[in-house]
Amino acid sequence: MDGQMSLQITSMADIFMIILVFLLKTYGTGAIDVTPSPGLVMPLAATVSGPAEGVKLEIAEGAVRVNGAQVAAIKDFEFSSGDLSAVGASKTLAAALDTEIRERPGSQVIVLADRRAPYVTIKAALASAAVSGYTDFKLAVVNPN
Amino acid sequence: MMDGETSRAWSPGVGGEGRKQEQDFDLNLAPIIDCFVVLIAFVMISAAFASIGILDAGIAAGGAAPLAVTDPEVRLKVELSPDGAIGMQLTGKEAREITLPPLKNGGYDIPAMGQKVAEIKAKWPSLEKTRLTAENKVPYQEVISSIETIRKSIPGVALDGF
Repeated sequence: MDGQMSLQITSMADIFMIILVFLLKTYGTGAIDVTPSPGLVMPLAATVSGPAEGVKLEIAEGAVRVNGAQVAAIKDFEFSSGDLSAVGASKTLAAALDTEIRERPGSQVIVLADRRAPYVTIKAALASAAVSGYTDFKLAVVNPN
Repeated sequence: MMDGETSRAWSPGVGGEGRKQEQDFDLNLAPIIDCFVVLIAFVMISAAFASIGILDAGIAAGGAAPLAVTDPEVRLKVELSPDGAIGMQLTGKEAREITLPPLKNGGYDIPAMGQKVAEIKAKWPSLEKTRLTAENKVPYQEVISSIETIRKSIPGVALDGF
C-alpha cells in the first residue's frame, strides 16, 4: 500500500462505448421528425412506412395545432358545433390550413392525434384539410417495438 | 494530459532501460472518456426514443386520384359500431354482410376482423382497397388498430363516413 490509488478507467470506457453504440443505433429511427405536445398520447401501431414530410396537424385534448402553432381551441377533443361547417369541416382549422398551403404549397398532411380522440374529431380535421386542398393524408403512430 | 512517465514511455530510450519502458506503455484513456461523456450527453438529449411511424390513409370521398380505374369485382366496407361490434359489408359479385360481436370486455374483436378480411382477400385477390368507417364516438386508437389489421391483407384503406 503506497497510498496512491489509480482509477481503472478501461472498464468505464467499455461501458461508455456500449452506451454510445446503443444510442447511435436507436437515434433518428422515426419516420418523421416531430415532438408531440405534452399530454398527447399517440396511438400504437406497427408500421414499416418510410419517412414523410408535410404539414403537421396535431389534435390534442384542448387544442388543434398546425406545425406546432395553436390554431383552434377544442374541448374534450371535440370542435364546438358552431365551428363546424355543413360538410363537417372546422372553419377555423380550414382557414389556418388555407394560409399554410398558400405559404408553403404541398399536398401532404401528417395527423398527430391523441388516441382518445373520437372519430368525429378526426373526420372534422381531415375534412378541413381536404377543403383546404390537401389530398395526401398520413396518420402518425408510435411503433410499439 | 501527458505526464512525465508517459512521455518517457514514448521516448525511444537507450539500452535495456529504454526497451523496458516501451513495454510498460499505458494508453491514456481520460480524453477518450471525456469524448464519450460529451457524445452520450448530446445523443441522449437529442434522441427520440419513441419511434414514430406513419400509416397511409385516404379519404373515401376525396383525396388523390385512384391508380386503378377499373371497377373491382367486389367492394368491402368495414364499420366500427360504438357498442364494440364490427360490421363488414361486401358488395359486387359477392354480396353479404358479416357482423362480429363485441368481446366480453366490450372491445372490438379486431383479430377476428383481420381473419375475415384475409379470407375475403384470398377469395378475391383483386380487392385492393377497403373503406373503413366508425361511429362518431369510437376512439381513434380503435380506428388505427383496424387500419393496421386490414393493411396486413389489403394495402389500401380509405377512411369513410364524411
